[in-house]
Amino acid sequence: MNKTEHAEVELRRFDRHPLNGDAKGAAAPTDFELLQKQVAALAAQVKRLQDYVAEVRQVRPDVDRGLLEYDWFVQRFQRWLADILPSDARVLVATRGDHALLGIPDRHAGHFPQDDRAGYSGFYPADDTAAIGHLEALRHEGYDTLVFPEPAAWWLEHYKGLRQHLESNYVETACHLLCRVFDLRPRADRLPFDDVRLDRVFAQARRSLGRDPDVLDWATGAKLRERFPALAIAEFSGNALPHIDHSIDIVAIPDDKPSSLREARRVAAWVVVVVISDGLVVKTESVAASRPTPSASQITVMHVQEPLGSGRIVTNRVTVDEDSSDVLVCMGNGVVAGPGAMAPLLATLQRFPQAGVVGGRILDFSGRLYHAGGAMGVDASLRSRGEGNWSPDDPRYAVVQTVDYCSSLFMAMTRGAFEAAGGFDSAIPYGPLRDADFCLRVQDHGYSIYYQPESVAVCSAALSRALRASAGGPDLRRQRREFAARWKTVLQSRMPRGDVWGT
Amino acid sequence: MKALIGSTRMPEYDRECGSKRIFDVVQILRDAGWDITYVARDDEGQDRYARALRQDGVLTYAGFDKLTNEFLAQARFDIAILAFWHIAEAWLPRLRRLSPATRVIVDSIDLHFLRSARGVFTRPPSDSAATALPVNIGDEFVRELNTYAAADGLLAVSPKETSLIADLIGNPHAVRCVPLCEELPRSPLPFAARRGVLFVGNFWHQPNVEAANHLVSDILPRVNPRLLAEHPLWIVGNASDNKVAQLALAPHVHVVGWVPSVLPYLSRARVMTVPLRYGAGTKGKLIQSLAVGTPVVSTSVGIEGLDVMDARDVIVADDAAAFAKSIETLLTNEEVWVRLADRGHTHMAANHSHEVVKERLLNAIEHFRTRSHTLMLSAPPWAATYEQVCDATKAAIERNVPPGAAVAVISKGDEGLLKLDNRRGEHFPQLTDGRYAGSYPADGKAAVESLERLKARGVDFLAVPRTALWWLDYYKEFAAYLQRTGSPVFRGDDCVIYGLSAEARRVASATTQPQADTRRKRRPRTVLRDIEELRPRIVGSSDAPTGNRTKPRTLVLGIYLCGQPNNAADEIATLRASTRCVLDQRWVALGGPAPANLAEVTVASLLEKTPKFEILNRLIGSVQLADYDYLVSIDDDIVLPRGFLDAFIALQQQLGFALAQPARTSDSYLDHPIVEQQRGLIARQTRFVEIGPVFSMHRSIVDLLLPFDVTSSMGWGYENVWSYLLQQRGLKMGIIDAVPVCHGLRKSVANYGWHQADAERTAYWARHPHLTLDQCFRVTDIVGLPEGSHA
Repeated sequence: MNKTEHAEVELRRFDRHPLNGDAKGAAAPTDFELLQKQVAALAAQVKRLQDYVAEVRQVRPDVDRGLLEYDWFVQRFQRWLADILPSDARVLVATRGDHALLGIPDRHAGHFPQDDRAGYSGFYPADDTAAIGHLEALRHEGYDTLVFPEPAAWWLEHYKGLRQHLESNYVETACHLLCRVFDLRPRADRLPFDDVRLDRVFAQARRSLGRDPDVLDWATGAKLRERFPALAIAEFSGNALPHIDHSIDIVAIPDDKPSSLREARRVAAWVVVVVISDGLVVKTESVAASRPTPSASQITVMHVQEPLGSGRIVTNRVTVDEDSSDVLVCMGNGVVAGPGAMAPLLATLQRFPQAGVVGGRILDFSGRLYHAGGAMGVDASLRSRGEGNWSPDDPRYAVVQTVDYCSSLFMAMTRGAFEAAGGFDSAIPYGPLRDADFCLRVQDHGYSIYYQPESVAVCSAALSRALRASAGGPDLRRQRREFAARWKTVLQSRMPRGDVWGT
Repeated sequence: MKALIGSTRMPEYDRECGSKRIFDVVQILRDAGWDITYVARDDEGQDRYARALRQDGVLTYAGFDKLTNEFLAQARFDIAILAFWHIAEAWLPRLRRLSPATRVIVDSIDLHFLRSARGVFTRPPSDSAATALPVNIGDEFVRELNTYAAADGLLAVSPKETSLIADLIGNPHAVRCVPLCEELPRSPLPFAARRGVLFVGNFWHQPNVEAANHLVSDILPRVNPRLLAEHPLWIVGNASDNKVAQLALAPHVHVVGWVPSVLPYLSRARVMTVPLRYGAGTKGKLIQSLAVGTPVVSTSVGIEGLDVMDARDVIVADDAAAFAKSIETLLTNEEVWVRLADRGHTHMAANHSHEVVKERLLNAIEHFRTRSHTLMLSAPPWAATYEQVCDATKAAIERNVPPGAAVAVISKGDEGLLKLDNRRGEHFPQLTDGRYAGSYPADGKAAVESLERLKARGVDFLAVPRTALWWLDYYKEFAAYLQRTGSPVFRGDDCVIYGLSAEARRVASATTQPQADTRRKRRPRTVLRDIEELRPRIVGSSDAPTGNRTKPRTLVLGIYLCGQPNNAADEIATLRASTRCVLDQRWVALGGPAPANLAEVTVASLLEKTPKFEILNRLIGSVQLADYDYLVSIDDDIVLPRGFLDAFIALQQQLGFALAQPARTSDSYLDHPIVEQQRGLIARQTRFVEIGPVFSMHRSIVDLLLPFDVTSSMGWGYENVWSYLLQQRGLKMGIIDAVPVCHGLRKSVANYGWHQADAERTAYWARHPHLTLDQCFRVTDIVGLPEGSHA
């Protein structure tokens, strides 16, 4: 595609966008009118650029043309964003360290990616999970807009997972020659009828079944198989469902075929009615099925104060005792669970009856791996698998497996395991030791500890800093001694220090 | 224990039978406690299946390149199961090089050469396509068989294919049958509740496409339309494209496409059809259907490899009319239907259940793990990569063609082949401006003309890489021309270089560098080749007759017991297959006359019981030991791996062991643990070499150790004295692990008295300085792969 064609496509997208007022309420322009408009817009931009270059050349004849063009781009970029962004927007800009791109008038802007002191991080995320994790941590810091200037547009090609994440969870509010803008506020708050709803149905089914649901796309036209490649989705376009029951959990049907509803309700536990318009899913609606829906767990989320040392661990038994949840989830203060992180944890508890505790994959603020399950050494040394690995998508940490312990920064457990172990021991304030002690007590009662990589959580900047700085406190040696004495027999079977697998 | 499982793609277990087979293997091994790493060659669009494996605790890599050499070398997989021969062909050399201890097992799934050949021969005569095998099938057939022969073990899905592979590679111990696994619940629906005729197949697989067409076009029109209206045909399966979808245009045909599970269809259909006209392996759909209790009408090809019988378990019909009739029978005859449903279900439960397959698979793996390695320390020539061929060709040119000369290379346009140091490379054939011609010469005459044009432009040499050697077969006239006007200045595994004029040949022979000097600069490609290249480096061998241009002359002395079970015949045959040694075998028959088949190598027969080392002394006395480079003593109760002598002597030479023995396999009788094979090692330098069943002396120590002092007539205690003598002189001795022998036929001390031998040993030790056994049982160095081979 040459530049003119590219510009044409971009302008077409821009003009169609709801935020670009020209398109609102007007009769659809003809192709010729559209083309005229695009040519005019292009010509105007070229003219402005030429004027600007000529103007600067008069003052600084030695300045490089490329720099002039970039300078012009930055000014346009700043002005354009100032025009379209709300005045209270907190904006992340993929900058590659150029502060000029942050100079959006009257807006708070920060680098993407950035370090925990808001400076440019100096490197690109190693993979999709690192990029997504870092973005989510920054959302937690209060940023609500993400901008990819034109020179950084390659991000969305290279980080395909990030693009999918943005498209699935947020709204692209502008797509312009200068940049692309994503609104990072939760999408479902404003656009309830879309893939998010479908995703929720699938997640609910997964939680209940302990596995991915099998889905039948019965002539919805929504191309669900393409939209959700991670699921087993069969497509069928006939009028009567053939032999499909027992093997299908969810049937998606179009809204214009109400006659399908009865048959769909007969065979599946969940039925989703999909309303399609112009090839887009504009509405989804769950309908109760006649086949009983497996019940989902009730969950209580407990917040863990980290870094520990203050003893304020959640042995808030009062809370736990008072409710009737059958699953408890620990979340460290400053830990942000990624979208869809909870369902895999709960599905793991459902799938493995012996599972007492399941821990997720935890990233630090910069997107590096912080914890992928833990291993103990014979000398009571503890090691977070993968800690510090820049590539959290490393296949070694993408496998569900049993581990020695997992971190209470992000873990789920059955009420039975929690109560059998007697909760966390507040006499061990150092987080990793306390978690290991808890997990050993859980294992003592016949449960296993699992690591579930699909549940990703990320630590905030403050928590990442605190975790890095935390050395366990002056009391750590005593704690470790007591821990080693308490679990002497168990630890004898562990590997020597420094020879822990998988790190 | 750790297993590497490799295939073309992530296992799409709910889409096609081959993938399900691989997925079952993964599940079985994982349930048995193995750590599994799965590597798929292709890495596109496989997220769901990769995810399923990861959720099952399986480490996955998409794209073999991501599984770095370093990882492969460090992971130390106990076994590698590679699905399909072409995957094994591509990966086997790297596995051998980086992880020599890993047992490589190839799961054939179905024999591709068989399927390809049948695909051609079974086409209907009216088909316009050719009905004779194309040449490339022959090429693939050779590669497929070579790959099977190079593996440590093979899995086949049926006894028939097991037997076929075993026959072709001549090694029944290398193949085990592990059938497809299907454990589906029997359908509770009776005859009356069943509706419809079913066809299931993955339509990526061409035989399924043709079978579905055959069913709809040829068979269904012969079925009673009234019956068909009541029992329409359902076509279920992956990748049903437009062509398959169009089958639904026929009356009473429904194309469903892919479904997550075929079980509901199998459970509710009244008849399953398998109208395949060609294929190989066993058919998962047939097994599934019978397991569910749905009777099947099949062609002979469909039931191949399964122990099912026509009219007992299934109905077999090979022509359209009979097939249609059989469908009608099963749709209408409840008695036949019930009988076949019962029999089929029982049969499949007995032969294809998870437990049965699990037991067979684990037994097969255990068998392959414990049997000795296939002697393929290195990639065989056919497995060399194109890159290696190019490197070797360029190295040969630089070694054999004088600087400044012009060389034409049959390059197929590869510019890389022309990048030569100080030599001018030219494409052959080429256009007038020197660019690659872009096509092959029309015939031999054109090839000759093209070469003559180059000669006129000053090209004196022609290099033919191994990938282009077919030219010499195909262009007969061209080959004759080269024969007539040129002659090879170099001929190797990887290329041939012709001097195109007498002057060129003279200059080449004058300027050719010594091979060893230049070859050392190359990255070592294989263990065996290195050994050859480094020959000889034996201690104290400055006066040895062995040279670069001669093969080591080896004298084998052996004794076999007549009237007792022995392996002498096999041993003699294995030794005789040596191509890299000049071999002289001299055997003695003990306790009877020599049998006819061994008479040729038997130099004496002794009727009375005579101690082994007395006999050896007599044999030694009858030969001029100075004529031999190595003296090998061998017993008659061992199993030698193929190519034993070449590899063993080559390793002994390369390692500079004056005295050496092969390790014993783990399943051998072992008197001293130190001689047990250490997997992953080439050899160990030790202070101990046992007196049997095999040991080898270099000529440099013959005078030192021979003749044997028969104070200890059975050789007890020799090891201690040998060790002392060699240590005193700074000579090396060791155990070669890479070529272990199996010593499993007779226990030691089976034919003589322990007490007498022990007393003789004491007396012997009293006469000779020696090391204690503790001092002998030392490993002073280990020899892994050659330097650089991990790079």
